[in-house]
Amino acid sequence: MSVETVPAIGLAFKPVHFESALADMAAVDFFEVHAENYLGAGGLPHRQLQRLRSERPLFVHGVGLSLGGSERPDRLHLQRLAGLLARHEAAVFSEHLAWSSHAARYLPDLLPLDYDDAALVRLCAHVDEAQQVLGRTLLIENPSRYLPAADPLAEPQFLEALQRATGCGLLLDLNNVVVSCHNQGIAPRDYLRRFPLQAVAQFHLAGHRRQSLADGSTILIDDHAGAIGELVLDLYAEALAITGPVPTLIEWDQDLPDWNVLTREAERARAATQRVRTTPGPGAAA
Amino acid sequence: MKPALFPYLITALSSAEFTPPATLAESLHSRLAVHRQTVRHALLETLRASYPAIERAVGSEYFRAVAAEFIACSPPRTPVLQEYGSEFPEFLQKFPPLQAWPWLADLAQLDWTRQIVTHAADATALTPQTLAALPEAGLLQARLRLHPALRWLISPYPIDQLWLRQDEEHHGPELQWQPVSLQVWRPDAQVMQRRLQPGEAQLRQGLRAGARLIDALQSARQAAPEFDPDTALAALFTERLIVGVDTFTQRNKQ
Repeated sequence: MSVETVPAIGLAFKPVHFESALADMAAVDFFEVHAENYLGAGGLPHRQLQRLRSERPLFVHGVGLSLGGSERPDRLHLQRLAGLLARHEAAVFSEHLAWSSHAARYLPDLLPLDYDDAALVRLCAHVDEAQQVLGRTLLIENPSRYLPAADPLAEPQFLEALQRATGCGLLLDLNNVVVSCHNQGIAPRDYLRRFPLQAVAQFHLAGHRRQSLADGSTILIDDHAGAIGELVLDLYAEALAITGPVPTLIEWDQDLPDWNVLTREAERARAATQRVRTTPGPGAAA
Repeated sequence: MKPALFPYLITALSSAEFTPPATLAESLHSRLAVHRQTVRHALLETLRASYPAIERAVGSEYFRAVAAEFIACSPPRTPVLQEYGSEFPEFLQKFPPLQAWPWLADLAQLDWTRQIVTHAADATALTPQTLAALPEAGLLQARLRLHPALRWLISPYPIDQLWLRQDEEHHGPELQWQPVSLQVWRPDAQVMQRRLQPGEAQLRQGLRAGARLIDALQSARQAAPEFDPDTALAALFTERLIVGVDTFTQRNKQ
């Protein structure tokens, strides 16, 4: 299969880039922001969003809904999200296969859950509820994982079951695939082969770093502080050969570079989409 | 991870000191540390963004240490991090090592007030021309609605001058140690602050409580004999603080 058209390539927006983004957004097809940074009532953040929204579609990415938690999603938070999505006419809303809240305490991180039947039942209920309150289909993203896996179900299998049960879409973060697979001793291409790629509605691409542990092993850390890794781009091209042109976001959240570095990353991703014309993907081999 | 472990992890990842259980393998410990680092980094950056004057006043190294203590005592309850940290001023006030710097808590309150005003609702203010067009008698009987992005605070310390100081070496304006009454507001995109004249805080207090203009002016005059109602009223409009005038002719007739 070959890619008929180039997918939409978006950039994660940071306020520091507002002026530069307005001056030069030729390389950007859409913007994505973290929902929780825009839940205030007013002020500059919303003005900037409104301005960007007048130029490009807006994707909203949640980091605080804790869908993988043992408690139902927070009703007030869901309502605030619904207000944000309506206010800025968000094209897409995505969240994570992770938890971050418990007993009225919140941790600003995406924490892992065991992929077992109990978790699946819980997740399905929470995703159903969120989709109902938000009145739209959610995209659920594979997280980056650091702890050794003790999962009865593999992540692709788990996400496939979740997708079938709730009708949600999937957001495949290929950087997280590389990071989690390295940290848990899985071959990334095996992961991709098992992943329900037909349900992927968005890709995320980002950079990661390598860190040595005291026991001599290394882990990869999904720090979003640098350029997209080459393996991530290779996997992207291979996945894209199967999914067709799916909107693709580049994340860069720390050690923010100049805007033109980000637009160059957008061009790198765009160039990678052309690799599938010459490289047989896993679909061709299957 | 099973839900039974969630409460343990919440505490382990936000506490200032973390001693892993002896049974925890070293490799697992260092992997948990990745999550711990993410949490601490995010919360520290949140507090740095909300309390810039405190970081300038105590220096970034000390700020980092005191923020870690605060995070352990008051971990976030909300995923909306710009709303995290409202108890930091009170924490500083009670923090034993900082008792010799009692003004720090008030300075933190100013930082937090600016944070609230930054994200408060937007509103379109009435122009001074609107004021001029209103018959004076009707205006005095009216209730003026204040802009939602307006707060004021008082302190026995010159927190506005302290706020302008750039670092712990005290570079910046010469301090005059006297009480201040400050207004923080955002008529547009930019947060502003200025000292209020005697009586101006009482005027705002009256208006926000829903008093008629005439009564709010009177209580301001009572609080401060030198209060100048004309100047104070003009300032409310030129600073774009009034977003509505409710005249109560209808209600009076009922």
